[in-house]
Amino acid sequence: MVEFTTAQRKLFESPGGAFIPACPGAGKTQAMVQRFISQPGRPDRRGLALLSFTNAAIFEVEERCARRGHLLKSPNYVGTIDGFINHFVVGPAYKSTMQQLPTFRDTWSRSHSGDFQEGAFHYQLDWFAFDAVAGTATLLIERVPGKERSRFSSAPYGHGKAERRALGIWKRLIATGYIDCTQARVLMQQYLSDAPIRARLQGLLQNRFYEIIIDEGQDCSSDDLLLLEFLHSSNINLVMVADFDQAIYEFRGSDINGVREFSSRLPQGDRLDDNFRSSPSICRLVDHLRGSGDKDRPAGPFKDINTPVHLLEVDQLSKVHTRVSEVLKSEGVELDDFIYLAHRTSTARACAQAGSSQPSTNNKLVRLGMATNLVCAPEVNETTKARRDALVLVQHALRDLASDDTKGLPDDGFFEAIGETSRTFTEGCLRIALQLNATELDPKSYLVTLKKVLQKQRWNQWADASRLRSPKGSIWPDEVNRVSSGIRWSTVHGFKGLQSPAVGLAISSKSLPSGDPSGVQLWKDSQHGEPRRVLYVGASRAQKLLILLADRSSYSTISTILSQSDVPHLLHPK
Amino acid sequence: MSAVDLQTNRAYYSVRYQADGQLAARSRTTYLVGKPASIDSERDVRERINHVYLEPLRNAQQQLDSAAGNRISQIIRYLTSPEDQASFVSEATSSLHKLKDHAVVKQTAEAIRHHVTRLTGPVRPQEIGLEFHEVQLHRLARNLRLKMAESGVDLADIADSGLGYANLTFIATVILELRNAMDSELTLFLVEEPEAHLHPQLQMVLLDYLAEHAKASARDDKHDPAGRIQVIATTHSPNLASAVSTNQVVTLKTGNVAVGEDRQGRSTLALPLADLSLEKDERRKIGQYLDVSRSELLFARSVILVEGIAEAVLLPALARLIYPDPEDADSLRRFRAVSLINVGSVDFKPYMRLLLQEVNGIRLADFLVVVTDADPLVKNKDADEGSDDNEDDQEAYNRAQDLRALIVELGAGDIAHVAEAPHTLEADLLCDVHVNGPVLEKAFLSQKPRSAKQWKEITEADSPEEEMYRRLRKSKKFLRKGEFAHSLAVELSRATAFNCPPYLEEAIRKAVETH
Repeated sequence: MVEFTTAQRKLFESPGGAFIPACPGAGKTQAMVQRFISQPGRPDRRGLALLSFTNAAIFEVEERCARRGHLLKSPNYVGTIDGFINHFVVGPAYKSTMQQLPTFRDTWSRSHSGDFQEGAFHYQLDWFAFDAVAGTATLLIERVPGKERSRFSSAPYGHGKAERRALGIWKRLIATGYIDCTQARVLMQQYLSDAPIRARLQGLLQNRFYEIIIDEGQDCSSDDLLLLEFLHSSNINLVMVADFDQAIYEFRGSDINGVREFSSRLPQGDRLDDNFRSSPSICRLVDHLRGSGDKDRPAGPFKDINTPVHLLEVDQLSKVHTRVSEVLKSEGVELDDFIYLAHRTSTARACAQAGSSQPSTNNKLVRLGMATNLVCAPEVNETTKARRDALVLVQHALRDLASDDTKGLPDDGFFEAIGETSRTFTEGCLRIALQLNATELDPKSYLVTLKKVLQKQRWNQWADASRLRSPKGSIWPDEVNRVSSGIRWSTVHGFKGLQSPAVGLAISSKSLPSGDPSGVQLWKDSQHGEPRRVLYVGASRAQKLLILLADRSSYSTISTILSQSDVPHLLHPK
Repeated sequence: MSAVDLQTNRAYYSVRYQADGQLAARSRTTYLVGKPASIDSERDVRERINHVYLEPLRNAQQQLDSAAGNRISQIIRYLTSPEDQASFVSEATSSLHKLKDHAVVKQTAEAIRHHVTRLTGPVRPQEIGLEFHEVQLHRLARNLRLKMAESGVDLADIADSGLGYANLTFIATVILELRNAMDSELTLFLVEEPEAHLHPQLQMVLLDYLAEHAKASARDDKHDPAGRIQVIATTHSPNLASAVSTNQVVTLKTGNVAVGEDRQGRSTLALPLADLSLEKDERRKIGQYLDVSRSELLFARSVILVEGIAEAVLLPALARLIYPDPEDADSLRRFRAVSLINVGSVDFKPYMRLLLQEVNGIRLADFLVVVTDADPLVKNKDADEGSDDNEDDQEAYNRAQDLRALIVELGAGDIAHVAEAPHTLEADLLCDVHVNGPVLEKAFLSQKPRSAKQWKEITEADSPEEEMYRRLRKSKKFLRKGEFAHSLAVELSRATAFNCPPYLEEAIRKAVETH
């Protein structure tokens, strides 16, 4: 068991609500989990909820409470804020007002009819913004992945037809009870402003929870704040831990000023400024990136390591790895302890030589092959979430084999029609995926195997594999067998709440698609803004070695900044 | 929280069992919550709902008295602390240890030893002792016998007491298990057919006792589980069913349900009487009626509702006349299965709503016949003077029509029939005066031996029915209807010829023959 600092102790020993600012690597998660376990000031049988935006905190609670299983059970709750909204606000209210079951999906891509082909384009429902009142759907071009975006923006006849079709699909999904995150929040607003429903929910929540702990409070959107205001007004203790400089979700609606205002109304706690994660040079760089004057105290196992921050000048991302390897070797760091981080997926993948993630074909057999391969043998980088996503793809692909009437049913209806439950269907899909090895099979024998396993499971009664066609050309081996480079990578957002002994952070000086200045630009101008905070979050993931991978113009900027700072660093010009 | 319906502020828990006829392993039990029901995401909450099950009593004496001693040892384990159990066992051990020195044991052991030593000595000497078996709780319990007897009499083996009391004692041992209810939010006490082998009075006492237990169980759940007890009893006893409020009764019936897209299957369906829409007044009336009559109303399938005791007594006798042949035995048996309910007034509507209203796709009754009198106004000056009849407010009222309208309103046209007596039962029995007159006369004169002249006047009138009716209306004292019906029933069983009034024959045939 680690020794706790005074500030940490205060966090988990003081009863009542509080706002606690924290630096990266401050052990706030441990302290919060400790609070969740020791439950200071618990008045009666009512429970405690721990809400987080990242799975890291949730995993940690689950792991630490594994032997105290009752803590994870009702009346307590551990989960994401979205899960909380669905479970405790929208779900119950929807059920009793609509007399219909809601089906919650994080995104439309997780529901069966989440994508469609229209003309020459393949659309994802998640790329559209829907307005129920006006009855419109609008394609948001910035949501189309980079590789495809230019093709989409130069569509000769626009996307009106696709928008109308998307609206139709969306309306059907909504009518059958599907609710994605956006819709859940729309409904929450509606329910919380309906006095009788609000009062009922308030009564139920007051009887269920005496306290709610919120991790990563800086990521709250205005909707999340609406929920927190509601809980606050229900006299439930709120304990909020936040690092405002880690707010990197403004693009998704996080409301940093709103959070600041809200948190100022909570009893103020001591800042957690002991950094248990990073070496002194990384702490200095992180202080500088933050630019608020707060200083992190290195306090963890790497507090006496004097490795400098490395700055590499890079002109081609795909060739950067050779030079990074040299740095790793010189610092005695194993490749397994290293990860590439970047703002964008494509950048991080390029550094790690991981190739593209988007299938370039609509052939359903190829898509199924890729998905089953991902489930069986995930890339070294792939997290559990990626495997889960792949399993969802397998489920969609197999559901697609049902007759048109059946596959279009809402989930419950579909499962009932095929005689399964959601759980047994998922298990069945997993079983099938594990028996299909697209790497070793050509399309024809893959299809034969698929038919066999479907029959073995008695799924051939509803699933018709002859709907699938072998692809033309050499797509099959190329697309399906993506040999992993064995190098880990992630976006900064995807690695939030996590850490790695060594990090390569790719930095570009290019302005953002929106025209806003880049993080480097803001850093140079001592301005604050989200792109700069993304750099801050990326850099603060590193424990003992941080390598900044800068393109030419940001290289010169950053080297200047570093030379004027107290950050120990080492330059690697081209 | 997904179990709570915000509109009613109630929590709903349900279970769905899907049987797979071909493959038992594919049959599934799904636990659901809320309304509409969805998958239970907080299964641990449901673990705080528990149950105690009291099986239908088949052989309580044996269970309580058997050498297996299971029931008693279960209770001992259940109610006493491990320390107490250990001290009980050790005390028994030390007592037995002392007993080892008793002459009986010593002499017996010595006698055996004597022979064994002489037999084994030459080869391999063996030692012999006589000791008690290691003492264990369940063995001790096996030797305990529950004794009972009426107070003031020496306790006797339970086998010697009445089966009813043995059953009640057994129930008491099960109720003891409810002590653990304090650790649950809700404990369902599931009682199956408590009426089996219990006197009707004991049934009521038991039910009241359980209801009190349940009522006393509710408490604040802020610091400890709520510990609520809810009693759910299944019964075929009209006696028990009538003793509780109709709001607490759920009737189970077999009905048709859709299985798959176009197939129909039979399934057990529930009709909670609380879901019937009844005026408060109507519900009270039914409750009072059941409380007094203990009638089989709630168990009825095919029902005939009648106004009074006369119809209730005479309809079975008339049914025997309608189905005289041996080939009709089946119909007569079916008539026996029809519930003949004497409402004791003309206030049929609450009962009709109860029996005919559709809830969850089913109705309490499969077929309903209402037998009522037209009670026409008498166009005679005598009717006004000296009439003790106060039903004059019915002047423009046609009851049968009104009841038929209610049937239409309830959408029950296919399964209900209103049989209307043109006048009133006693009068309309005279429909065929030449055949029926002599039979009726005997019954009439048995009540009014000196009124042969009156009878003659009636039967010789232009319309004997009307004449009879007029006299009935004029004075209630003219005929004691109940007594008349009883006498007539006796006469009918002897009669060689009697014609049932058509409206009654139709009523009986409909009730028997519609299915």
